[in-house]
Amino acid sequence: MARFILTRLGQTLVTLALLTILIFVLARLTGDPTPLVLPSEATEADRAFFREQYGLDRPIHEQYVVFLRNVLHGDFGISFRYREPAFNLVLMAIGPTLQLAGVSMLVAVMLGLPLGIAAALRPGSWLAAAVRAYASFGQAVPTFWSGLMLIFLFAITLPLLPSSGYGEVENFVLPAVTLGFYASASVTMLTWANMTEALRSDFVQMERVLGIPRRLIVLKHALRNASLPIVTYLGLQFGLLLGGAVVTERVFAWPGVGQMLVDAILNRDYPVVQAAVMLTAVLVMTINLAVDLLYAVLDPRVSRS
Amino acid sequence: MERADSSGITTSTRPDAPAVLGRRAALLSGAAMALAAGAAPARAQSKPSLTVAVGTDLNTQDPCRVAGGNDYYFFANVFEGLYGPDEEGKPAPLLAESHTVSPDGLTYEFTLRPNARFHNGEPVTAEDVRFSWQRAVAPETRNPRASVLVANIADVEVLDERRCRVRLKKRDASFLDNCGEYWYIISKKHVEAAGENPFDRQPIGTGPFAFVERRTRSYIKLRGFDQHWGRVPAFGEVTLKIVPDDQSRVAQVQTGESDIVVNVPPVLAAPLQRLPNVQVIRAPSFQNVYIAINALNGHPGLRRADVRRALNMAVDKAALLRATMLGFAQPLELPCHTNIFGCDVQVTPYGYNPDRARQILREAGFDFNRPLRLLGQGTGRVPQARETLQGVAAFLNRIGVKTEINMLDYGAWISAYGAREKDPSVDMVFANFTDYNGDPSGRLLRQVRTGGTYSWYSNPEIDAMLDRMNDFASVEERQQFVRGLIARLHEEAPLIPLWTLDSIYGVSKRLSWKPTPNVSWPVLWNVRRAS
Amino acid sequence: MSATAEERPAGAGGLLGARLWRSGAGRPPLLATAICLLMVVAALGGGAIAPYVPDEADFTAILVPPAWAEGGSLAHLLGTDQLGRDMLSRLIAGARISLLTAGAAVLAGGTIGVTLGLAAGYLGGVVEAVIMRIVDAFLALPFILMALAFVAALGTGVGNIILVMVLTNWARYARLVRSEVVSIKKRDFVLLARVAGLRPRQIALRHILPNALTSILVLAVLDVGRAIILESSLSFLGVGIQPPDVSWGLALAEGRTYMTVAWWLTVWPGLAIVLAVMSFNALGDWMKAGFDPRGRL
Repeated sequence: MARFILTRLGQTLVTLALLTILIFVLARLTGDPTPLVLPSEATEADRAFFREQYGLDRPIHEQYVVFLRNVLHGDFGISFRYREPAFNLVLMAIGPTLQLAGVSMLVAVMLGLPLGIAAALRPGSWLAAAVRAYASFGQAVPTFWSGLMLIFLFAITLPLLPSSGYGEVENFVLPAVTLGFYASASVTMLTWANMTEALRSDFVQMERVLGIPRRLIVLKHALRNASLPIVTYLGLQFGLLLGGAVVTERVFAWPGVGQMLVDAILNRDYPVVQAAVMLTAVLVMTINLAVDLLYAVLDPRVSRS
Repeated sequence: MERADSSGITTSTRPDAPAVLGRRAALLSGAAMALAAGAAPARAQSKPSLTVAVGTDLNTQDPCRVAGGNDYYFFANVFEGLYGPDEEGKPAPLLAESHTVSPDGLTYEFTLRPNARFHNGEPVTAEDVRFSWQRAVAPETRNPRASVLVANIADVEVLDERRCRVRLKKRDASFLDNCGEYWYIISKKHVEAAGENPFDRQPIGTGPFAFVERRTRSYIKLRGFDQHWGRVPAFGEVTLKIVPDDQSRVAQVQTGESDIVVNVPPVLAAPLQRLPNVQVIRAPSFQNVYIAINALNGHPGLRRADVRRALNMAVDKAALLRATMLGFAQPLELPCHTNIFGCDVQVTPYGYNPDRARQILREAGFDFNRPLRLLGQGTGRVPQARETLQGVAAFLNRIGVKTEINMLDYGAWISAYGAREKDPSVDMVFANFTDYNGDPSGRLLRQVRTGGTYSWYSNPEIDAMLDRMNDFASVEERQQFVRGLIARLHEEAPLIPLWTLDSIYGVSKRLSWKPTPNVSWPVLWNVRRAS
Repeated sequence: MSATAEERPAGAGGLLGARLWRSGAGRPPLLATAICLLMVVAALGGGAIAPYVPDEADFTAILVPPAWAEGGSLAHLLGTDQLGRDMLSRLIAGARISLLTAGAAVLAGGTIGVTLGLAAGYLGGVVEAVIMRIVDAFLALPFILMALAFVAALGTGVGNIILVMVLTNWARYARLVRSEVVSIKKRDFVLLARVAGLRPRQIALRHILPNALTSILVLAVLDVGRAIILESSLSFLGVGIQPPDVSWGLALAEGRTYMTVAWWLTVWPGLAIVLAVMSFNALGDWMKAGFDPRGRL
């Protein structure tokens, strides 16, 4: 068991190291930040100073070494645009994104779990067909469209909720529903699949034969058996929500890390790009590691493979 | 109805409140309000609050480090110069109450207003003016726009508490015009006491609004500055909300969450106008949209002025304006708007004549087999940028000119547009630029002089005229000269001028406001409650 | 999610032999297949079947509503957009680019991912360690970063968009295939094959791959839908397909501004996206049931 944990940790560290190279290269691939940071009235001396100040005039491998050394100290440099430490900026932005991901996950589970269970209990019925249609539809609608629709319906036509922004509890509703609806599609299908499998297992069949009431079977056994893969999947999905909520954040003016990343890339703000991706990646990998470990603890077969 | 109780805090009692409530309830509510008012100055508390939804976040809070037009929605409200735009957009005395200028145009003397104050209550003195110049040109400050104005100041001499003498290095006819945006007056005491990055925590200026707090990428809070020398706002607390997405931003005024929305896209203006609680207010700006032509090293046909004029003739600018801007722009015949100094010259318009255009191209031996490569702006800083370029391409296609469009995001576009060596594989570039105030010596002509950052054109005769442009002592003489220059540029047609954008604002009907014309940002001090 | 195929040697039935298919699957979903076919035809036909040049602007016919609405005309069945371009033609042309982008991304990404996953899973050891660490690194990167970086560096041609989507996609296949291979590897018939002296490549391609294929195919078909949505998100951010090319995603993103004045600008591309994704998903579900009805739906 300990060996398993150590191996996984070791793997994560190697991945992180690889990641720094990838991030470094990708950030610089976006282009030259100088014309975005300095206006046309700036003098040649200003431009030279800017490049020198951020070490952009040094050879690329030297820049990488400096970058790596600073990262190990937690220093991601100063943002070209805001002139503040990139790390702090990203830290401020991760909070709202994490909150949104969490609430969206909740919405996804609240929608997906009961629907998936219901469909599994009544295969072939109109309910199952409806659930399948729902899941299919949920994955097919892009969030920038569904988000706008929700704003239109519940903020403009019926002034029930704020149309965008961050700060109050009401602000969470529309963005979380937008994202959660999208994520609930896969949660529904996964729950359905695992629930069906659990219901078909011999153990459950036996309980049926013994005449134990259906509801009890469902609640006690099937659910427990089905929960494991779902937990794994939730871990994965959380990571996706973290990185992929970019569009939703833009539509709802949510000051999260996705939107920050897009802005930073469009502004060629290397330090912020690097910091945002690094921190998001670390977060995602930590969650995956935790899920893997949980899995290993709960299912000893895994750790031996 | 307002009355002051013994603690000096004003409370308001509704005249129709039932007598049963009595004085005790009124006093209690007054006390509650007093508690709630907290540290905010009592007088500001009685003024209503205002919420404005803007599209971009601030890059900096330091008035000596402003790098682009996007930040002016903050600076134009919090800081001021000696002179600056009035409600008509014309230069008017702001912090200075008067000035004199020497006959050779090199020395200005300013007298400051006696009641000009900083937001911390300190009076504005000539020492502050001198300090503002020093800091703006100090190498450590790295003012990216020093070259526009402050770098040309040789010295600022303090004559007495309220008078100073500014000596320029070279004559600059646009000096007063540019004072308002390129030389903000800051407090010497505040900066010296605050240490490093003095404007990060407390940007102290003299403008009608004072900074309260800011949450990056969410909002900026200001308060009306009651001690302002002349432009006291009608509002106490002002929140500038940052909503990047156009439609979400416009929704803010539809739902009433914001009172004013900035940068309404033209498409959304008409439906907005039909709403009962919203009015659409437009104001002309100096943001020009045009297509720059590569007369240096692109398609060989573009090196001829008659070909470039013919390209102008091929585009039905009026139809394009109606279609893409829905009328929310002013058509441009000349490279600058007619309100700009010297741009009121009469010329023969190019006119829309596709057949004649095609004929001219043929007579000039234009190579129709080689397509024109157009560079566009893909990510939205300018409304309808993509549609505009596609429209222009469509018109060119109609006269037989083949086109290839390459849409770039803003960063890539500006790298290409402002590259030192212009890319020969680019024939035309969609461009937008805001003129500095009312003077053409600003950015536009930076775009036609040989070697200018955004110049894709070279002509020694024009260069000589450009270099002389600011070097006049007499306004009339200068006006004649500039008129001639602009007329000559019209002949040379280094670009296809399209239009000057209107600033479109969505404003709640409970407010009345006349936005300052010829600027591209909201100047908020004259927003009032509609009576 | 992984569907485990039943372990069976791929013998005379070949790669997609009838014996892999379960009779319990029933007939394919008619509507979904019809829609998919229609779209593929539109994509292949492209300009030849479109009534107008999709990119041709007509300033006399701006924002014309669909033929049956007030103000519409039969000249433009589905209406026109803000530059007077015919919506039907744009829809057909968009099918080509949307499906091409998604399909190529899935095919190319899938091939690379499957190959690497196969290698990693079967060869094990250092090879596996190295490949899987790279896979993890790619999976941790947000697709938007890669997309924007490549677009900024290389430009926004269709080829580059495909490249971007391949790069963001291949890792999932690699991971899936590798875990499948690892579990299949231990089964008896593989051991038998090794004992019988078959070379690793033969074993991998003829015996292991077919068993993993079911999951791969299912993932691929579902992926097409995901890829279409991804491409439209890129267009929404302004860094996806650019004019004069047109994709459903771009049409949807461009039309979004005009939603309140011209609903047909967003409804047609939106509908196309939703139908395409739902149809491909339905096909994928049917295939899943066909290959392995016991395990999942």
